[in-house]
Order: sequence, then C-alpha cells, then structure tokens
Amino acid sequence: MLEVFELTKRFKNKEAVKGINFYMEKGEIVGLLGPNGAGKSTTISMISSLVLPTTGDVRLRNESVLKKPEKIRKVLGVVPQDIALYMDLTARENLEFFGRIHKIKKNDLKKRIEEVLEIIGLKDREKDLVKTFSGGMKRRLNIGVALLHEPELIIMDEPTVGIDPQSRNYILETVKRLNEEKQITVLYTSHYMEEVEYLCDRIYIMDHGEVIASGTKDEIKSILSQEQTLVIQVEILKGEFLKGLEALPNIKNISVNDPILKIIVPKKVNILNEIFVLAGETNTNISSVQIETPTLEDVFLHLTGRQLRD
Amino acid sequence: MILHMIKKELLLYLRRPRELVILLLMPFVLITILGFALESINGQETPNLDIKLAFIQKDDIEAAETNVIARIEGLPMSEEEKQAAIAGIKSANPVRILKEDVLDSPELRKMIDVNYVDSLSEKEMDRYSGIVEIPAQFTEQYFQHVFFGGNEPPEMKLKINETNSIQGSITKDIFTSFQEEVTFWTTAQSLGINADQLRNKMTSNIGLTQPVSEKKTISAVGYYAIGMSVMFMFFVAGNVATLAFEEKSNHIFDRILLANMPIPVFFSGIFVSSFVVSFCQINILYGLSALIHDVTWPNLIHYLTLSVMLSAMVGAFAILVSAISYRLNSNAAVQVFSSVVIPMIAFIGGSFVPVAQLGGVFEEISKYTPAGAGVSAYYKIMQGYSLADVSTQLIVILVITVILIMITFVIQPKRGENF
Repeated sequence: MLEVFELTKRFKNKEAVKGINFYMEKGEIVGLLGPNGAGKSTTISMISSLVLPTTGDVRLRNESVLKKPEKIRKVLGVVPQDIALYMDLTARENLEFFGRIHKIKKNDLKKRIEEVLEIIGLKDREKDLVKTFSGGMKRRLNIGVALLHEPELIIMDEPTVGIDPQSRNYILETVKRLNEEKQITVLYTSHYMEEVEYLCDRIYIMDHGEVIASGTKDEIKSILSQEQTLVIQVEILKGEFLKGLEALPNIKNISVNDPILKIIVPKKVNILNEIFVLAGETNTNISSVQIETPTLEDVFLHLTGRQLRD
Repeated sequence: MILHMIKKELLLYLRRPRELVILLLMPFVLITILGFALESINGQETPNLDIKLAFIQKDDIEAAETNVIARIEGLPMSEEEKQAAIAGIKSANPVRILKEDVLDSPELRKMIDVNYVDSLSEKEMDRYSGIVEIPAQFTEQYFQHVFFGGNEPPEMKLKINETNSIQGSITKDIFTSFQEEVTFWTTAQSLGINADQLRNKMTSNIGLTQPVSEKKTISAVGYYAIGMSVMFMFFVAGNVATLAFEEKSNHIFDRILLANMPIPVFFSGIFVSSFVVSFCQINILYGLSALIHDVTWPNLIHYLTLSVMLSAMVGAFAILVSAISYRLNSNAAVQVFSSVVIPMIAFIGGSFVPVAQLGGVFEEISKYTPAGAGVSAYYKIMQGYSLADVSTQLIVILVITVILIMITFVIQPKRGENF
C-alpha cells in the first residue's frame, strides 16, 4: 500500500533522515521505534506530505505522492504526538470543524460524528469543552478527529504519551479493533515497547536517521537468538559488584534499574557461577535470578545502546 | 470552509473572556475615562474666556441719524429712493450693529462682558482685555462718506490689553472681521453697488463656502470613542494572529493542511475572521458609545463604509502578522505587533492625542498611517463630511490593505516547507 524509497531529509546542519526504505501492506500494523532524535517524526511528516523530502520518494499504491499530496491526504489520518485540538471548543464542535474542513457533507458528518464518538467512548462528554477533559480523553478525541474521514491508513505518533493505564488500554484496544474490523493500516510509533509488541505485525527500528533493523517481532528478536538475558535482583547494589560484572568476559550488555540488573550473555556460556563468586567477594546478597529470552527492549538496547525512553 | 473557520474563530472568542475584555471592555472604559477627563480641553462647550470689554461711546447716534435723514430729504431724489436711503441709515448704522448685533449676540455674550462707560482712568484700563472707543461725530461722518462722498471714512478705536494675549487676540479678531464687513458694505454703497446683490453673486460664482461652525462639533468622548476604537481594532489582528500561531504550535495547522485545505484559503479564513470580529467589535463599541455617551453618526452609510474598509485593513494586518509568525516559527512577531507596533501606530494616528494639536510634520505623517487615516476619516464622518471629503483617507486605507495582502501572499508558508 505504501512504500518509502531512499527517503532523506537534510536540514541546514543536520541530516535528520538518511535514505530510509520501508513498506506497509494493507491491513498491517507497523511499529516505528526509535529513541528521541532518531528521525521518526521527520519521517512521519514526510510520509504525510507535510514536509518535502530532500531526496527519495513516497509511493501510495505505486504512485508518487510528492507532487500530488492530495492523494495520500484523502486516505490518511494522522494522530499527532501533541493534542492538536481546540481546547475552548467542545468535543463535538472539534469534530464538526475538522469534519467540515474535510468536506464531509453535513448529514454524513452528523452520522460519522456519532460513530466516532462511540469508537472513542466520549458520547457522554460530547458537549464538554476539551479543556475540561483528562489527558486520556484528550488523546482519545485526538484519535477521533483522525478517524472522521474514514482513512485507510493511520499514522499514530506516540498516541499514549502521558496518560493513565486505563486510557492507554482503551486506545490500544481501539487501534486493534479498527485494524481488525475495518482493515485500517496503521503506522504506530511509541516509547512503550509492550504496546508495539502487542499491536504490531512488523517493526522498523530507527536510530540516528537510519533504519537499523526491521522485520516481524520474531525476526527482530532473533537478532538476539544467540543470547539470553539474566535478570538479577540484589538486596543492595554495590559499585564494586557492578564493576566486577562489567569486567567479566562474555557479557554483552548490562542495564541497571536498581536493584535489578539485566545482563545479556551468549546462550552457550554459563556465567552464573562467576556471578555468585563475585557476589560473595563483594558481600552482595542476590535475591533472585531469572533467565529470559530477549525481549524487543533487549534488542533495542543491543542495537542502539540506549533504552527506548532515553 | 471559510464559514467554518469564522464560526470556529467566533466561538473561540466567546469562550475566552480575557480577549473579550481586551477587545470590548477595555476600550470602552478608556473611552469613558479619557473622554470625561479631557472634556474640558476638547469639549463641545465654548470655553469660558472671560473677556472684559470697555465700550466708550462719544457719538450721539440718534442725533446723527436725524441730521443725515434731514439732509437726504433735501436731495433731488424720488420719494422711493429717499425712503430706501433712510431705511438703510436705520438698519446699517455700524455703531448700532456693533452694539446690538455683534456684542449683544448670544454667542459673544457668553464670552464677552461689555461695560458701557463714559471714560476710563489709566488704572481702570488694566482691568479690561480691550477698549472700544466710538469718537464723536462718527455716525454723521460715516454716512456723509457713504451718501455724499468727499471725506475720509471715520475710524473706531480699539485698544488691546497685551497682557491678556488670548482674550486680546480674540477681541481683535472680532473687530477686524466686523471692520472688513463694514468696509465692504461702505465701499459698495459709495460706488453705487447693491452690496447684498454683489454678495449673492459672488457666492454663486465661487460656490458655497461652508463655515466650520455648521459642521457638528465632536465632544471629547466622541473623539476618544474614535481613537480607542481604531486602536483596539488592531488588537483584533494581534489576537487572531496569536490564535493562528497556537494552531501552528499545537499542530492543528498540520491537521488543516492534511484536510487538503490550500494555505491561501487558510489565510483567507484568518482574514475574513479578523474582518468579522473587528467589524462586530467596532459596532459594539460605537453602539455602546451611542447608548451611554450619546456619540452618534450623522450618516450611517458613510460610517459603515469606513468601518468595512478599516475592518478589511485589520484583516490584512492579521494575516501579515500570522504569516510572519509562521515563517519565523515564533510568537515573537505577534508580541512585537501587539506591544510595540499597535501603541506606536495608535499614537501617531491620534488615538491618544488629537494630532491637530501637535501639528506640523506629525500631523502630515499621521494622515498616511493606518490608524491616522482611520481616526481622521471617522472624525470627519462624525462631523458630517461626506465620503468624498475623506477620499484621501479611504485611499490610504485601501492601499495599505492591498500592500499587506500582497506581502502576506509572498511570505506565507509554502507547502512541504519545514517551517
């Protein structure tokens, strides 16, 4: 449905996106992952025709949309990271305004607004000003506006930032339902790895303006198929214990979330003995040890050297 | 599309009390405060100048008239001509006219206190702004000159007290004007010309001269209703530009673009919204001023025409400031416009102080500024002038509007730019 070829965006002193390629099939949910400054938002802006790429092409059903952005705009709904709504209008007034500028006819719009309010669960608050809404409700309306013109493709740029778990679940379920029931194609970016794992069929990982990994969840996880993750919980994390761990051979990565340590090591190597010896030497009490297969978060850490939320 | 943008804009205004206060309440309060505070300076009441005038009459006008009439009756003229001349003597006696028609007129009585005295000592003279002396035989010599010729016309004497410069100057102006009128009549009469017919002929040849006093006088409240309304119209442009930049900063503008709205249409929406808001604002302000301060317009069509043109200029300012803020990706342009540019153009335009009082180059420049053209055009229309009389101001407003729109068109963000 959508293809991106060698897309590059160069600003004055910086190349924000460096010749990336990716594609999306109809009905897919594709995750776009990357730390802050990875180039995700610039990529989204180029796909949605808001920013012209320096080089490269964006094709919708094999037709370039750079010269005719109207084509992609008709089928595209964008949920921006910011709450792009009028705070001093009611939910319904916002939907009416954006619906009318999408040139939806008055009677059709009335029906469509009812449908959208049902989808986003705001029917009972339609007459309230948006500024009185909770963060989660604003996020839901932010999505609702993007759904008004029944887009085939939705780009969601971190749609769950800063909201409570209940609203987050509601949004995830809504996205899943829209995808399953209406075959809407979704490009989803998030800082929450579990959201991407839950929703996405395929994933692109971006860093420093480049796609550094892509594929299905399993394909990406297989990058670390030769590794395993040791999750060690200690009573008190001591500096000498951490230094000792870093000095051990075969350890590929350590991430610390005091008092829990995540250590990535090759599957074939049994390093537990050495860890217990080191704990004894540094008077560190180990509360528990778990051996896990790598998660997407581990892969991300492995590839970028950073946590997703860094 | 534009209709929905206007509806949205008006709803946003109605729900933002701070903006409503700035656009409606604040100017109205300022109109009231400034208007009443400065009523004594610019008010419609005649200022109390307290001119004291001493009138010394040494001439016996009744005796002089009797003598002249007796001489006329002895002339070889038809009875009709004699009666006309005698009637002229009674009605055109300059001393009688000065006393009864000029100094005793209701207008001058308000500002001139005339004391009829026989003589004055040096000390008493200082108490007066001016002293008029009608010498003995004045009337007789005057009519001798008018009807029989030969001698030089007699002169009234006027002494001005230089220490009271304003009062003295006004007294002098009154007498100069009176003297010119009498000289005109006398000369015409001595040349055998009917002065009234001559005056009518001159008037029809050179067109009607409209004395300023026949136009409506504008009160201080009226003036500040104009000054403040024009200034606060520009704040509409600032407010609309602020809203427009908010739309950009929180990505509503992106959403609007994604709805396939062309950028010029978006800016047209801002233009029309500003136009509607400022037109409503000015009518509400003048409506309140009419109800509460009795500030009225002699011709509503003229008033509305000017208001429409000024509102369009406000719309042009709104789109220009919005386009600059979009281009700079900063609200600084709006802040500079609201806090520096508006007060500056309002001051130059005479929103705070009537520019006529400042005069000179300042007054000249003011006419060609956005607020100056608006203020002076409203002022004249409120006085009762026609649209033709304010055509210069209307042209200035139109030209500024067109230039601002053209600049906006050039600098407005282009599709796909990373603005």
